[in-house]
Amino acid sequence: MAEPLRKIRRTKEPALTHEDDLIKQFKKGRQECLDELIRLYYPVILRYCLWHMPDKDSAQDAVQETFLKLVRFIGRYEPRGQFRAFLYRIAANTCTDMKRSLSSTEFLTEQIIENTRYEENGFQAANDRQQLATAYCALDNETRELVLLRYGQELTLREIATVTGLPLRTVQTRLRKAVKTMRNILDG
Amino acid sequence: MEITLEHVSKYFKDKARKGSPVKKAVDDVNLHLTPGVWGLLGANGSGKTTLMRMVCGIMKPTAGRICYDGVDISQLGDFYREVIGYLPQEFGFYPEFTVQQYLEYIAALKGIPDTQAKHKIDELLTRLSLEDVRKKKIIKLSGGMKRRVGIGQALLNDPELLVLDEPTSGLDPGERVRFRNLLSEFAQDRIVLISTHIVPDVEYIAARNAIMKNGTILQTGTTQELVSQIHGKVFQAIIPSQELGMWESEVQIINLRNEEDGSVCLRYLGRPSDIPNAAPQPPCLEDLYLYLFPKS
Amino acid sequence: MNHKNQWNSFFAIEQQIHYSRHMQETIKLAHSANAMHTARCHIPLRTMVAKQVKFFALKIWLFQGLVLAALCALLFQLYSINAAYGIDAFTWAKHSLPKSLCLCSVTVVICAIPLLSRPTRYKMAELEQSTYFSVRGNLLAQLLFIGTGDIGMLSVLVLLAIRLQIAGDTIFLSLIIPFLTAAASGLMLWIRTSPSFFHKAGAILCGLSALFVYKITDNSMLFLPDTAFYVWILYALICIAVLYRECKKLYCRGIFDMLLTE
Repeated sequence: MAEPLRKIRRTKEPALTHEDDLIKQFKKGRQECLDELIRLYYPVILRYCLWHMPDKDSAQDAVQETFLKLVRFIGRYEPRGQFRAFLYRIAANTCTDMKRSLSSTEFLTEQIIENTRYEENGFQAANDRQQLATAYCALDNETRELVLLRYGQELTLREIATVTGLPLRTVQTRLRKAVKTMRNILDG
Repeated sequence: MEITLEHVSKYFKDKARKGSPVKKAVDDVNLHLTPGVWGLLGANGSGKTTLMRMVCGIMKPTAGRICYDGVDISQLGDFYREVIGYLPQEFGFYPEFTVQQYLEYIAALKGIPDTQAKHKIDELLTRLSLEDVRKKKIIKLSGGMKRRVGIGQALLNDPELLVLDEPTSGLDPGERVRFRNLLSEFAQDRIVLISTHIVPDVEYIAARNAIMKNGTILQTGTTQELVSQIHGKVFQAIIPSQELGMWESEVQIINLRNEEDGSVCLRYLGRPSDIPNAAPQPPCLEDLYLYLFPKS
Repeated sequence: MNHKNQWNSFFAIEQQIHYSRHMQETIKLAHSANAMHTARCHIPLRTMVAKQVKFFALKIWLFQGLVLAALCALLFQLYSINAAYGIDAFTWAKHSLPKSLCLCSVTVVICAIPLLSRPTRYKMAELEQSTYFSVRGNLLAQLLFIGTGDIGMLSVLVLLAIRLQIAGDTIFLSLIIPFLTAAASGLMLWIRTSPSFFHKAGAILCGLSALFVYKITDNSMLFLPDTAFYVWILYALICIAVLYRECKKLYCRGIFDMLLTE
């Protein structure tokens, strides 16, 4: 429930005032604010969904579903700088639901990496990417989610804690361990 | 609209027993509720009330999640409570409240604006035939009327999800029939979840049922689907009353009726050969209930 | 952090997908979804609290008034024990008068307990919790009425104590400090424990904390007569800050969105 004051001061929270402003304006009736909000967050949510869904089409379905749910439940959101956690929670739930209604096979991250490989310039870049993929795949599912949210989606630790439902301490410890594991694999 | 329960469990610390510290009130329940009437059947202590409290958002699951249109209700908070109407199994009233005051009080707690509340209270009092007792103190009303007031408060905010926990316990047969009719009316385009151990109350109005035992859902399905499993197991026979004692220990008796000529008409679960001249009967939900929860 | 940038670009796989058309489509769908869905309007918290006045405020204040009358009668009785009753009785009464102020202040706090436990006693708690405003709104309203009543009661007791010629600093130490201690600890407990636990333990704990403070106030004046008073003023401010913080916690949604009934 209540976290030590020290920790709260140390974490640098983004203000997210722009998002809150947009939502306030949207609630007052300015429809174009919704456009801007979606344009702002579509790419990053698409990124998140691509890492959870088996292909591009189902990922795009998931993004669309996420934003439709956002609109539906926007009344619930109190503009207090927590928009990202709110949106990502919806995205996480949506991906879980949609994966369940698709076939029951496990979608390996390796497959996703295969499907959406960068067209790398040069051997070195491709090799780096391959190494990173191996390191990432060495982690278990829950830890991969944390790494994705931290380094792929650039959420704060507190936001990750809200989205995953884990305590802040657990998120910190697991991420630290994951980074260590991955660096070990990358360095040799 | 839909409510989804995914791997919902609720464990309590069982202080009474040493060595077994955890009591599983609800264990890995999965349900997908769509608009219509849903019956939640089970004996007392099977976890129905705990499950309903979690669905209403007043108790947090130990594991699993409950989603409203795909979003976790713990994320929605009061937004979710806005669309539910709940009638607990045990509910009371502040002694000083009249029916009108009580409904106004609950309307305020539900955040309903004044004009809307007034209009809705008038409408509900008429529909529930409580117009005459509007100004009467609730504690002075009969059991049936109190239940109707309870249902009235659940409907104040035009809920999309109506959760009723044992709504017909303590009502006389006439009131139970009236209640059934009332519910069928209100169940259009809503999810109505009724828990009961009185099977006939939901048998005719529930589109789908879920049967609960020891915290888990045994089976779900329409009444037809559920009773088909005991097809060919329900019989009716007429026996002399002296033989009743003999047959009581042989077969699972559902119902018995004393006939005028001194014989007894028996409805029971068993095999065709159990009692001579027994006629097979189409099974109903109550038969299934006794089949799944035999009286010891 | 070098690895951060590298890792970030590793995850940025959406960049090789052409998504602008789908994004436009999503925006369009979002607008039509928004048009279809009409949000429910509801009254703000302050309106709900205002409505509760007609239901509960008068009854709460009447109850508190009766308790106050009993306490005033007790104080008057003690004051009226004069030399005619015997020198021992007179000394005892004179000595007990300030101590009985402590008893009064704790009683003021404890009489909130039966009021706050009404929902549980009348089996309304579960139903109230399932409403839009839930515990948060209801409890805040009750605390507001009780708090106002408490301030009224304390004011009357202070005035009475002055009238009964008790010293100002004694009034502060025997009436205000125990009240604030009991109120702060009581509220902290109420929010964090289940109703059944609080009913058993709450009253005892409130009383104990106030008596404990009283013992300290009794002795502190003996050892540090000059500075002690400022320490107690600081303590009083801390208690008020705690009370404010607890009420603020109640006001913010987070804690009470999912409340346990056990």
